[in-house]
Amino acid sequence: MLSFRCLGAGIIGLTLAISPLRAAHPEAITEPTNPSAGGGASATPPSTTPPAATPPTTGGTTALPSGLTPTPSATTPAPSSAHPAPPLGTPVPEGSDTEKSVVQIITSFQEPNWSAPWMAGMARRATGSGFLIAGNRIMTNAHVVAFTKQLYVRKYHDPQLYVARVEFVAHDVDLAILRVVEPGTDKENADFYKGMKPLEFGPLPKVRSTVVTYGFPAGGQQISYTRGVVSRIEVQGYVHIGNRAFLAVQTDAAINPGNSGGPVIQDDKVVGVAFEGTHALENTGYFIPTVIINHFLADIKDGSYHGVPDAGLRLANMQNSAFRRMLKLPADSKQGVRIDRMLDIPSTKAVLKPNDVIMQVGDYPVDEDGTITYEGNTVGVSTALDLAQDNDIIPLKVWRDGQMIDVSLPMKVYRDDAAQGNQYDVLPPYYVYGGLVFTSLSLDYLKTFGENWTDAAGRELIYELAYRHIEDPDHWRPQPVVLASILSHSVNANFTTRGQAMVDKINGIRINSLSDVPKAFAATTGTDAVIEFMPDHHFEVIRKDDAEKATPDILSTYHVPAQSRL
Amino acid sequence: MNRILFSSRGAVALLASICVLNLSLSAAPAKKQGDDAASSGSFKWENALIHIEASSKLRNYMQPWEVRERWAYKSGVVLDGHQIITTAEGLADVTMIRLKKGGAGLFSEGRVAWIDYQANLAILTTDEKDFWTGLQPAKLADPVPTTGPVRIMCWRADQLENRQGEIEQMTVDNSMLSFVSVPVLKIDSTINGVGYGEAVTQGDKLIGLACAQGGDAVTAIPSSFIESILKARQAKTYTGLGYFDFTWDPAENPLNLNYLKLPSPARGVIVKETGLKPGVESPVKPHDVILNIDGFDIDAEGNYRDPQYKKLCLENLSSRGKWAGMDCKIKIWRDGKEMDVTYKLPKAEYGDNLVPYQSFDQDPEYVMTGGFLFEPLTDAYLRIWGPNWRQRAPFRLSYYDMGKVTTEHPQRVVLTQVIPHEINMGYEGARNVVIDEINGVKIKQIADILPALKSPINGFDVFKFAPGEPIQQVVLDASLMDQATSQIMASYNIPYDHYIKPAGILEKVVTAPAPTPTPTSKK
Repeated sequence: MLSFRCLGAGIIGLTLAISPLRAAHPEAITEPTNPSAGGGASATPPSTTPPAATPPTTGGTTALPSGLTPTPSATTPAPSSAHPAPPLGTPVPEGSDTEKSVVQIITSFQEPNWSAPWMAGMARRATGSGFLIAGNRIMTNAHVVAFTKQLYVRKYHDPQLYVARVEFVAHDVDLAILRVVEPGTDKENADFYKGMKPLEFGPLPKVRSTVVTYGFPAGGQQISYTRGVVSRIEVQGYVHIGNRAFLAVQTDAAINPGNSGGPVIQDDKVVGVAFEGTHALENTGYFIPTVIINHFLADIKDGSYHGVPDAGLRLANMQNSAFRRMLKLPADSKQGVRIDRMLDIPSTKAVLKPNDVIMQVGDYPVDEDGTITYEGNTVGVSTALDLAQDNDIIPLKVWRDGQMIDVSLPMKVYRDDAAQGNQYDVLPPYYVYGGLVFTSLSLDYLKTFGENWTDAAGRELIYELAYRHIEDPDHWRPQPVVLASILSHSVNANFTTRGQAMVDKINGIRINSLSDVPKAFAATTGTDAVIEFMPDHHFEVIRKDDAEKATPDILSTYHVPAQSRL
Repeated sequence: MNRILFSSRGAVALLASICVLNLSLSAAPAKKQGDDAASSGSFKWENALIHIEASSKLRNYMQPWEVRERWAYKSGVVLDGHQIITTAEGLADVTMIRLKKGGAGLFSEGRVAWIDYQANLAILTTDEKDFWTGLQPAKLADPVPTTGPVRIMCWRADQLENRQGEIEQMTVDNSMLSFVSVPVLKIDSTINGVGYGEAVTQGDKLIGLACAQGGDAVTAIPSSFIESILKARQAKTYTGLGYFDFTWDPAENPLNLNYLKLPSPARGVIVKETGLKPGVESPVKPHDVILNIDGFDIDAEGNYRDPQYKKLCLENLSSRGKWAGMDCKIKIWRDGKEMDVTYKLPKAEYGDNLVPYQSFDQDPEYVMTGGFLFEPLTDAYLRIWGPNWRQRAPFRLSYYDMGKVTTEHPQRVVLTQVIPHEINMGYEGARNVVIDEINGVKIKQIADILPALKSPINGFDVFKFAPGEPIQQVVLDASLMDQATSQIMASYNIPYDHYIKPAGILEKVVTAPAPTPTPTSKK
């Protein structure tokens, strides 16, 4: 994977300065005051509520330092044929098949609490959009349905709420597939699909061509449309997961909270799924193009989602003539992007080396600025690599030691950096001992320090998560453990440290993951357990018998359902 | 006008006192400083306060060859021996000092007679003999009171500002310009804009110099601390401030002491990290318990009972009549038994930190070659990101601030920016990345760069950066470096391509004449 990987290169400040991409996130619904609803009043009194779900606001605050050498993007070439825009006065026909196939999604969701991991956050409600695809399925964004507890779907001019379930979710590419079912069952609700036609997917749209978004954004209850042009097509960070970047399309069609998951239409075909917006730029929204969508649909054909594989490559442009000469590249060549560094992925390291110059990926020659021409657009070379499925082999042409060689690059899904991105549909692990709450270090844990977590969390924690594995691999831990907090009890009342402390050893045993913690406490010889913290030899002692006697009482007092979730 | 008591010197004394009080209005004959005040018994703070204006060089760490001017407006107090005591802040890189007395009249030219940045103290003086006429040296209080009202005074717009304050406490805190812990007086006062050497007084005694302010809280350097340094300086025994180069935890958890086999009652502090002074082996080890320093028992919070100032933090014992290089007797608990160690106080120096805390009285070091601008990583550089640089600066750079000096890395050198030129095409986005090697030579400090560039590899200068940086390697054509450097200097108005101490002079290494800049060719 390329430039947008979180390889911990220490530019949090710079990342935060980049225009934030606010996901067009689901917005809390306004409960209707409907005197004709009859029967009991609606559960929630009518009110205008602010957007309930906090959007993954910035690429910087949800992602760790993304360590880029910004690859200068080449000027987007003029498309070979401009797509003519219909006259502005031409209305979209009402009741068209397209709009009948667009649905509103209403979710009740509950996010976990990463600093008090046995607790869940408040149950909240939000809305998004989706659309019918082949096979009686609804496509939407993953962030619309993340942590959902109850999903409803509402369709065009139909007051009924239909129950839905998540069938597939891809948090890396922010896509999801839903099924509408009969309430209380897992059986498809055939009635739902009456009068609806599945939307078909189209190609990657041309820059400057016109697109229309369909959805249910904030500001009203009915389906809404916005029209705009395709402004730019580039690889960029996907805010939902935070530490991945894929091809995305920028449009000036308004994409607002609630639009997420809705189709972007051109020539009656879906050319994208609306998913992100930004306040930093005017008239700027983003949608996921069909190349990504098709990859997702192909992936799930075997019944499960694997993910977009990642070769772990950090690439640098080859625009400097001295470097090109040093690597003995042909004088008349303007191709090639250099491998600057690689993640520790054995299948990649077996076939590639630093300072290899990738000249071609599959059918795509690579230019010296790290771009390829993909369907008439100049985009980052990662687009070609992202076409691979898990365990595919991609043929490369590589320049090494003064000559061109063919390399077969195995592409595998890489999840070792999951904790450095936003995690979904998993519950935070923890272990409680004598009121001491241990959890694993993750970006989600750091974000519990608030919007300014990069300031509040402490530099030591950020370094451990983002940089240790690169700079000090000999001392790296697969799952660093934090004493997150202390549930007060007389057994721990004298602790100087009250939380936010990296654990080094317990009873002299190095702690490499959370599962080491109970084993280390169990290995206490003598009366006391000793916990040593990083980085400066600070330690605390707790009496073993007292801690073990107090633990059930503490769990009961603080309503902790179980001592651990490992 | 004070009443003048007639004595056997009668009319002569009266005439002399009139001359002193009307100093600004007539050219009174020069008198030895202090004679008349001492004999009259009348001390006036107006005659002891000096307004100071200091012009100094303002460094630009983004373009380190630039020098601008800044002014500091401060206050000082006259002491015996034609001395003016003030704080050191604002006097670094000074180019001119002007002194004004009595809130009126012309400025006199001053100079720094002595300065200690770690202690944040300076002595100014002037060679203009007339300046001292009519001035009265203040007396320093020792001990310093720790309660009661005070007056904070200074000249402001030629008016004497004199505002009441109330002493809150004597405590120990970091010196304003250093990482060293020193005693400070905390005062509550409504006066505004102080912290630049204003006199804190009680009666006719100077009890401190204001060095900081936050809201109504004024911090002052206590006169007892000032006096101890001045006396040692006079006795030629002052070697600079020392410090305890270890960190410690209070022993609040009795089980921690139990684990270390220290029997109750709870006392002492537990050592965490040691060896913060590079190149010096500390006699104190991690997990030692510090029980006593120079006869003062240390309690479990890290305080000792000071005979003058009640409870103070143990850090004060590193400067309580002791200076760098002097021995402290420390009683420790280690491996289940008590033992005595002799701890030689290391000298506090800014270079003790991997990222030096300050860079005073020196031009910023840098090397610009082929458009690559290298600078040592210092707090002064990081402060480009403002007072909150710890949060605002690139994370990896600010994290180095927590690092220690080692033999392998006595300094970190940063490629701060790439000044665009054809030679460095494609690298323009590289900035604020730490350099590791040039042409296979480890770059441990900025002075290593120029020698490393003398040995290109097969005609190329190969730059490798620290692991974890967003770019690992870049290459430049060694044969074009000198020419490119010349062109960049001409194009971007860079007068000198490097400054490395201790040469102390700015050098222009590139000898090739600077040609007219080459137009950028198209790809």
